[in-house]
Amino acid sequence: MTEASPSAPTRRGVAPFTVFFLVAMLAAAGAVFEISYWVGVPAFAPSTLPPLLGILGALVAFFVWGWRAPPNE
Amino acid sequence: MAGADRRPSQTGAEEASVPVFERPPALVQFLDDTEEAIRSRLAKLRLFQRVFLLERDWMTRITMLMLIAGLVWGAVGGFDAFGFQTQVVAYATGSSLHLSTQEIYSSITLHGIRELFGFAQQVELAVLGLLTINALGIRPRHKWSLYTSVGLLNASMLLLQGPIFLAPFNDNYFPATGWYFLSPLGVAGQSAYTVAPIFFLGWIALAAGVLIWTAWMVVHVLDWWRAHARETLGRRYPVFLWFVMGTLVLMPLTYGPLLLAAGWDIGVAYGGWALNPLVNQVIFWMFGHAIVYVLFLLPIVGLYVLVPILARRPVYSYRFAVISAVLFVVLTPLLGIHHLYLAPLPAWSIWLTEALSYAIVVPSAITFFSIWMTVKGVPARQWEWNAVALFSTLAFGGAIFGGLTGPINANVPFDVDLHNSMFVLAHFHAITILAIVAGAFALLYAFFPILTGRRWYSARLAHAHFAATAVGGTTIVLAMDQLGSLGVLRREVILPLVPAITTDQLLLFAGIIVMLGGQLFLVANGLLTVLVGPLFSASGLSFDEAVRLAAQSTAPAGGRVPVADVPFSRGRPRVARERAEVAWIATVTVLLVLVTAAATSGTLSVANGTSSPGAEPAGTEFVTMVGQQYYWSVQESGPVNGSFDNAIVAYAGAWVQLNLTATGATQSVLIPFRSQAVVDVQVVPGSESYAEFAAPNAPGVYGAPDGEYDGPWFGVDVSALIVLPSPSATGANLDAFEAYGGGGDIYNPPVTPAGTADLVANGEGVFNFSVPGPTLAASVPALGGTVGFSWEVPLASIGINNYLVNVTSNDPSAQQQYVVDHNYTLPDPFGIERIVPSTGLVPVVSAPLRIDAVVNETATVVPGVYLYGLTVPVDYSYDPDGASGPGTGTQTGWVMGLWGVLWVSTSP
Repeated sequence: MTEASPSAPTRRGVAPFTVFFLVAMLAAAGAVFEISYWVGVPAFAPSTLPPLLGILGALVAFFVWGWRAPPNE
Repeated sequence: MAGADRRPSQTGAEEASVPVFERPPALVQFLDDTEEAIRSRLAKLRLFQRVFLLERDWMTRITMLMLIAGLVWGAVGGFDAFGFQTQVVAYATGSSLHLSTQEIYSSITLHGIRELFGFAQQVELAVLGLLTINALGIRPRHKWSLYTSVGLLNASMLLLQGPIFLAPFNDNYFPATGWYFLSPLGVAGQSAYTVAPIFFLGWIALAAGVLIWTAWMVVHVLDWWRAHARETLGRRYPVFLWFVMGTLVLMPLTYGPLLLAAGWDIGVAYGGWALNPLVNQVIFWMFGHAIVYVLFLLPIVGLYVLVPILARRPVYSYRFAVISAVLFVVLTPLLGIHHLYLAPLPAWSIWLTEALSYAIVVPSAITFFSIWMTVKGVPARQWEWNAVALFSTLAFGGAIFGGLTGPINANVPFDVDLHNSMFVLAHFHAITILAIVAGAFALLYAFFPILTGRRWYSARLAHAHFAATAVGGTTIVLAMDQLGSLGVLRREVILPLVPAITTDQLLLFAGIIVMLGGQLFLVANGLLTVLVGPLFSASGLSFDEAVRLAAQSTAPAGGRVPVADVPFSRGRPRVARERAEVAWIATVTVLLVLVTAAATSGTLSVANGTSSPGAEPAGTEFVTMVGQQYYWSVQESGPVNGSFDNAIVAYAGAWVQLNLTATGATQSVLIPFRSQAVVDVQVVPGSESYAEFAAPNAPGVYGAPDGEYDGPWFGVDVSALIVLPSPSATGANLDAFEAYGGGGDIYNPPVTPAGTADLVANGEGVFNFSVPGPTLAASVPALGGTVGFSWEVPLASIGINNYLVNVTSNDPSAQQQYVVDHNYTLPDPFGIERIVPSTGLVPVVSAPLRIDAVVNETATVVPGVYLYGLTVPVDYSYDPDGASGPGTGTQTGWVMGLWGVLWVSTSP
């Protein structure tokens, strides 16, 4: 990895990796919010629950492997 | 940009020096000369010259033309949605509709067509052409092939609009077919609602335009391959190029079926060909589904191009990105049947489509992990939050937001619950607005300065545009989701007047206004950029640097980062990076396998239940239903016998077996219970569908809307499951039904005491904004008594959206004048009929329909269940001054909306 060119200003801020992660989690939360409504409707829960659990599992994996992955360097 | 103009010489010396056999064909020369004459004249007008880049090479000019045309169609399509929603909001707040049903549903049809094909697809083709030609350093050629393609694409948008009469103005022949077309709806000779032949020609023109563009691109890629094959063989091509190649493969696989389906429809309508609607629909959906994925590749390409450029480092895993492109191409053409889950298709085909629909999650998972990982390690000081970065981030999040609800929709048992509901629309609009549109804007902000030679005029306008798009788009999606949660059907205008529905419709309207208003920031910024924007020069810059410089003109002044490339050398081995990627993909794959396994039993049960009759327990009610486009003709045998229109009658708790066929359009029986399994089955003309269910234990009237859009009278196409008290409980009231919440179905008509009922028909020909009308509750002694209620069909309610009087004139007052001329009486019989379980309907009272008078309807009855109102459908025809016909379209049908149930019990 190389640093930015010497003329680059030194700025504080949130790394894009963190921003992308937060956006992904916000989007996922929106989707889970949409889906989880149906778990509370007794007649719909049996068909909603397996994919919802699958999505929740994928979100955990996304977080775990994303954090464990080496940086793009 | 590179581009070759063949401008005519002023002296003719050039032509003289070119051997005759090397000169362009006469037609091409003529076209060149004509184009040059037009171009040079228009270029004298500064606005045209700047906006259409008339001093630039032909490739740049055509690309700019495509982008501008795309934005124009996008704006028009946005106003279509605005127009539709004004009507929904008007109805939801207690007003009648101002536009005709044809206009309302054609606005939905044209909204989809203009946004997807006029806007998104045109921008995609422009961007992919621009990227490929520039990145590969190809000299563009075959100008007139590209012009022909662009001409056909935009001409198709005009053809798809159908005919319009300017004097007197009449746009009721615009196509009201959904957002696409779905045989046999709209096909002359097959449906009560037919569209003009130019609509189908428009689809042919659209396919031709896209296929010509595809051939044009293939020629250029082959040019590059012939010139550089040896030197590039074995080297890495840009990731986006794999997606371009994928698009070139997908286009014929997508548009071939469209040509086949539309060509078949034309042959049926005008050539007397035979039609198999189910086969036609399977073919159609090979296009209808695949096109969305083709368009989804636009933000994918945008992310793979822009994020590495902004991050100043290559994509995280090149190999996985390529695998993702290949998987998208392989899986996309195979998923069409998931729009026909509830149709009578072989169970194995539905299960396989479900499994493949889950499988396409894998390339998406690869893509979003790779994009996220691409920015891992990028310090904040090297990242600039310009409009390109913001829209890229929105496209990234939007694709995840919409994508995660995809597997839910792909789940067959869940599809039974929410097929065609607004929940599906929330998923679709998350993908289209928050991913496809956001991705298109990211690319636009990156390439507009390179095309125009001018930096963006205002970073603030760009950020305002982003904020409005993100807020408006998200609001639209969440409002649609809330409506879906309530059980509202898509394309539904005549809605139950439930406060929560009104609130969510207003929220949706607000989202549309914010979204549309926000686009004005883009228009203003674009115009100011081409007219007075500072000059942009990419001279001496690499492609990546040029993109960064272009993007920088939309960055806040304090947050700009130097655009220069920085050296990059890999410090982390590929194996280490791909270890995490493999683990991620493996986890996703295992989860998908588990979810598929969990759904298999339910999926096969649904598919088998739709395509074949199930078991027949003792006491089963056998119901044969024929969908007559806007109402159901019902024949029953079993504990209840008789013929009904729009009513399924069964005893509480009895098993009911439906045997379903349809004519005119695909229809469905949907009984959207919330406290027991939903009944939802598609009925495609030419094939038989089945459904079996247990009637609820609580006697009452359960709304059963047609869940499939089937033409302009879709809104009043609602039937009812009438659950009778068991024979030993005759005379039971509706207390149990109301305590039970009517099964949670919002489409249940409200229960009203008959004595205080004040039934008033609205402009849509339904009582009290409810179809069926309110269920009137009355009580009489066990041996019988008198019941009564008042009703009125005001003269003012007769109009363009009221099916009670045919439209025979362009004069808007003609329908009311007809009523006046006929002594305020229409021949349709209004009355009360008793449901006698052993024989069916028995008339109690009946008289011709009175208009503009309050009628006190009274009858002496015994306890039981009755139908009131117009209990048979009304024959309707739209033919103002003889304008309807094979060239313009026809709108007829039997419609039934002014009816309801009178429930007479022995106890109040």
